[in-house]
Amino acid sequence: MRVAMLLLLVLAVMATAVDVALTRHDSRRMFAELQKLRQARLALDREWGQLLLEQATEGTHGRVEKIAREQLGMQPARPLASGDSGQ
Amino acid sequence: MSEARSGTVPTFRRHVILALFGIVAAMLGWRAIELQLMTSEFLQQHGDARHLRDVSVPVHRSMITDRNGEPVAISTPVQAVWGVPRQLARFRGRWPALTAELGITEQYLDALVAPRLDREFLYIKRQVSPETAAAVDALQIPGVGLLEEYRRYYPTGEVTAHVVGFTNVDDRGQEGLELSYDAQLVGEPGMNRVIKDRLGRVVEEVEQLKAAAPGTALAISIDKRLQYVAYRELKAAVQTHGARAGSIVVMDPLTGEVLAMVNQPSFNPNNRRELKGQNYRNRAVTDIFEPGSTAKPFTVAAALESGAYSPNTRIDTSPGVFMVGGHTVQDARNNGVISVKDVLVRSSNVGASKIALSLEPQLLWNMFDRLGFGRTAGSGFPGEASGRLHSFYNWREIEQATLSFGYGMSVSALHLTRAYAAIANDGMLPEVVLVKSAAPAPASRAMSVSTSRTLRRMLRQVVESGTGRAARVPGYTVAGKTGTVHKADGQGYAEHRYLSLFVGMLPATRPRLVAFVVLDEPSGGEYYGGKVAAPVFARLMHEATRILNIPPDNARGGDTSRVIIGAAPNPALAVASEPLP
Repeated sequence: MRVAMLLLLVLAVMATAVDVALTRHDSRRMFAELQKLRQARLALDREWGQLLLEQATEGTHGRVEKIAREQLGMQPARPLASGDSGQ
Repeated sequence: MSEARSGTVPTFRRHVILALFGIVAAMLGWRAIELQLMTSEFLQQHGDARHLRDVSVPVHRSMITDRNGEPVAISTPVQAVWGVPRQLARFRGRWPALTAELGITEQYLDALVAPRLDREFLYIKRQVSPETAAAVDALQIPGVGLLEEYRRYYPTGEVTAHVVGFTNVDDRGQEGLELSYDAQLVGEPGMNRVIKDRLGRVVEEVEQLKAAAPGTALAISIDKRLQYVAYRELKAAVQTHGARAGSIVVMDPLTGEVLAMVNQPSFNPNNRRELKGQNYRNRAVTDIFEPGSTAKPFTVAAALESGAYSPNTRIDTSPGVFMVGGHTVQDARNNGVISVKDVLVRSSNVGASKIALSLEPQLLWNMFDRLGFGRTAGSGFPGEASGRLHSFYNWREIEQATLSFGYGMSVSALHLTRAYAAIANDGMLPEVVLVKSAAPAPASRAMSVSTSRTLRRMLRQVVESGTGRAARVPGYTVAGKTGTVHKADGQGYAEHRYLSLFVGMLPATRPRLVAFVVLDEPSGGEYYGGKVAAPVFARLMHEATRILNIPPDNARGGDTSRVIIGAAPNPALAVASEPLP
């Protein structure tokens, strides 16, 4: 009986030892994945910032007005008449 | 003897060997105790030093946007090229390639490297574009590396340059709102303790020593679209009239928010290579001037509040000249007996002086004080001027008189806009707000509701039939005041140097916008506020009402010249179109 108990405990210890190694390995693997995702997030964040900047620069009022006037021949909106009804 | 050879080891030898084993075991045991208990800390420390590292978690400067979330300042990642001076000195042969790529001369690099040979680190060039950085990296010069840093870009450029300001090379605010709100924008980098493997990759995160605190984005009160229109109109007017400088301020009178603030001359914050210091100033906030005729409504407000005057009270301004304690106050022409309302419409200095001198000095001063003159407007902008309003204790008669038509006191564009916002806001003076805020700013009462409305009615006349006719906006009622101010130099008032001012509000019935326009020293022949500044106001407001969807309140088009032409010519009106100083 005592021998069986002892054997059981020894097996349990070995099982937990193996489990520790496996968990450690899992943890390292997941951490590496986390780091990769973080890098990806950083890269996307940067790209968003750069695109925002690009959008703001290309959409500058001065530039749009210049293109509208010179290339597209547009004019700013004016009221149809100065609001008078012939009085 | 043969029994001794086959079997047991002699007792003596057995004991000696056992003793030796015992000693070795004891030594090992002692060593174990020593390692585990006594030097364990020291060893642990060294073990950690081999592979534990503290890594900082960087944060970059937060964005600044306009009131509608459009970016006006963004930080974007760039690279800095750095080098180890000693190694650089050793590989001089590679310098031509490096300097060609970076656009610097070899002498410059030499001047950098030579005095720093004992150092480990040296910035060769900062804030280079990613393409240049990649090219430098491809050169693979020993001792030269890349470091990531951030660079601030201003997509709106010179249009918002004065308000937003700019940062220095270390991404800290130097001018403008970048400086005022630097602490909020910068954020704080975090710190993590990690285990790194042989190749320098982070294997495990042991502990977060400090959480990274990114900065908070700043939404300023400026409306990018209004800002652009104001800038365009100001720039055009300054060029047309050959002015030295100019400013425009547009404010929401209900909330005190500054919707547009532009100055000429301006600068490009993205490229500050050849900059003149005088272009950096946000003149609307830092420069002070005498307001001239634009202060007359405040005198009239004090008069109305005193109860002794109404818009129709008659003032005798003949013969157009008035002596006060040995000094002369003069109108452009003899207006005779006119109403208080006409003092504003025709901009009479004599009328304003007589009104002011009939009031208690303290009463007059209190009105100006309640309107925020003589102290900063509280915008939080660095370098904000407080202006000057001399205490009434020491007033001589002439000072009381000249104050009534805006000389002898100094104000900034912001002060004046704010004071007219009080008139627009039914007598409540708003706090100036430069950032978009959720809660409405507190306001203080400068004059009664009825005084402000009476004043608005009179100022409407200034625009419809007085000196401010060029400020009319089709479809809207406009109230405002012109000003043509002699500039003072050291020895008195300069002969032909003026400020052309106009300040107005729209719609006059329930104003949504207050705008102030000033042109400094127009040299093109015209200099009256009504001719130079008022048209700028009209063009700006015409666009602004469209951008902000302000419904028209004057269906007949506001073009009241038709009404006047239809009526019999009125000599008073014809003369009133001539602006007075």
